[in-house]
Amino acid sequence: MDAHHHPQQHVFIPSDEPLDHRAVALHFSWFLDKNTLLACLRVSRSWFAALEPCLWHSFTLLRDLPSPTLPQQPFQGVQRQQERTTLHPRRYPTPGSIQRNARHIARLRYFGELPFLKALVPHLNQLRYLEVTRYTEEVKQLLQQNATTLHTLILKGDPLIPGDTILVDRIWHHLLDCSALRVVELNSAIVSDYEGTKFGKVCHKLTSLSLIDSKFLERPKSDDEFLHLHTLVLERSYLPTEDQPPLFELCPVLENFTWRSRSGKLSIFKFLIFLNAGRGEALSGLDLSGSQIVDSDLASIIRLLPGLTRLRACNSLFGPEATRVVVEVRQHQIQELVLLECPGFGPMEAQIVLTACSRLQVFSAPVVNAMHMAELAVLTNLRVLRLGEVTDMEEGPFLLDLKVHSGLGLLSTLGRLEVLDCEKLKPVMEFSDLQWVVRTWRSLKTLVGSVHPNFEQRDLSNEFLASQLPGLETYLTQAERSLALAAR
Amino acid sequence: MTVILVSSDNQDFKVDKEVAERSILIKNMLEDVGESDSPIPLPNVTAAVLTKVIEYCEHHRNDPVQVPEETDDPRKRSNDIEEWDMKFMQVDHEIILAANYLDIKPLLDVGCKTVANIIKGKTPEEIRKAFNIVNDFTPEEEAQIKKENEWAEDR
Repeated sequence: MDAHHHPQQHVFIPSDEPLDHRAVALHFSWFLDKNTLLACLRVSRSWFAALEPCLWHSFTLLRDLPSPTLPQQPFQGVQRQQERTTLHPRRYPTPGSIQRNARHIARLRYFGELPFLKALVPHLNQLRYLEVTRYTEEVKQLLQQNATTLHTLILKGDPLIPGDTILVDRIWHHLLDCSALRVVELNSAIVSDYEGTKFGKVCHKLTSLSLIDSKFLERPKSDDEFLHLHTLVLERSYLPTEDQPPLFELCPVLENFTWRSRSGKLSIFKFLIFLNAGRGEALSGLDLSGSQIVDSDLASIIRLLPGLTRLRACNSLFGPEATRVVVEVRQHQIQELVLLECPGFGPMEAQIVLTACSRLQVFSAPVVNAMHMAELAVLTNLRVLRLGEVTDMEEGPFLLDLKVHSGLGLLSTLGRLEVLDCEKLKPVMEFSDLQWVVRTWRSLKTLVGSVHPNFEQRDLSNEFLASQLPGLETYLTQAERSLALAAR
Repeated sequence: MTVILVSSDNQDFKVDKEVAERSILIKNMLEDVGESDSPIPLPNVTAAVLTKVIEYCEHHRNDPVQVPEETDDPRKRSNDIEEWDMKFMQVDHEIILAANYLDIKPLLDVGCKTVANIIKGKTPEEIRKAFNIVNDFTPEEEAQIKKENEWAEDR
């Protein structure tokens, strides 16, 4: 090692800022569960000072805070919520704590009309992420106070009030002032027919736009293309008639496109023209679920997407033609394939995909079942495995077992498996099989379905699995899991 | 091509450019400055820590570069630490601080995950024992912190 250098030489110092303990403390806190973080606060004064702000980084205020003494009650309206607030003040932070810490909140999820919100809002000027269910006037104030920092905005109508919608027109000019805004998601929103220009101006700075269960009487108006928009989600949203150019035509750098529209079919013809003009080169994730696209159109689309790695086409006619294109030209790149309720995707198609697509991390097709163990075993990148029903009953009940000695052992190659969904398979797994699971699938985080028909046995099995695999979550059905994820 | 990194205690380290560029801080600087033989001073990193950081970067020189995430606060998992990394990380908070300063996210993650794994599920007293920390709270103060933050508990 050379010990001398020349002091006169002009040197460039990468950064002379002091070490950022605060940023490191925050990063570190993201690896801890809440209760461990709370324990850390009590370790010493310096730990408290470093980590208390981290506790407030992400703040959630939803209406149904569980009460430790009252039994769980369904939502009864705002008044009952207010009652609950005054009866159990310790479920909310103290005013002193808010004074000290609310300014650290960078991510806020809240349900509007909660009285507690008013105490919080004046302190919030560092927000990067804001998710609001049930629009109230506080939203405008928050947009103004956080105009330079807000990156992500999610607005939702109240799901318990049918027809509760957000009239986005109230806030367009606030959104225009939010210089850092890049991600917008609107649920149950209405955009009226004279705000297209402002809508367009907002879209120009966005990288991601999601319009869900919403009604747009006018599309975002723009002469220029949206040069930053790489994610576009249109789910069950009503868009005006087809004489205006479809939204995707304004998005030349689209990487992720979801079209799940209830009203009006995706103009496949226009989409194919768009792709044929080479505009789909950046597209890597495509979700056309529920669009009832036919097999040959899917085949054409896949062929025109050189960067495709993730494809969801549930409830479509994905079949032999699309399968052939996938294994011919996309087999080395396709990582996610979700084909639920595709009557045209049968066991033969599944077999072909399993043999050809070695990079698959997520493969969900009900037809994939315990008969395909040997083929599944080569998909060493698989993170999500869904096993469907066994329909070929000639093979007998043995295939209903998910046992090490009857095929499960072949899946010891799936070292990265995170999600196992055997809801449809309804297997019987004995203790030795569970022991195999905890030894082999160390990354397993989620189990959907029951591993034993007897419910007591199932509960004991889940307990055992959870004790051996830290962080494992178990759900009886996929629906239960979706609800749990939505509540987070 | 090599670069020379200089620790805060004036020790020079000759490192391949490819290895040094695992630090995004250094990578960006080299892009701005262009071809230059000037040594790069790192006033916040001692020789002892820099040795370990360079060792980590050498081992991981062929790893794919991590794409920066647009949104923060992703869900983090604590389980998937490479075996080599586990042996490498003797819990040294200075390495974690250096990794943050030099913008080497994978090393920052490994360091944080290692410490997180040690303290997961522990009581404050058990954490103090693990790191030899003196408790400078009175029992009343500790109880007050617990009470004041009950709202945050996972039930």
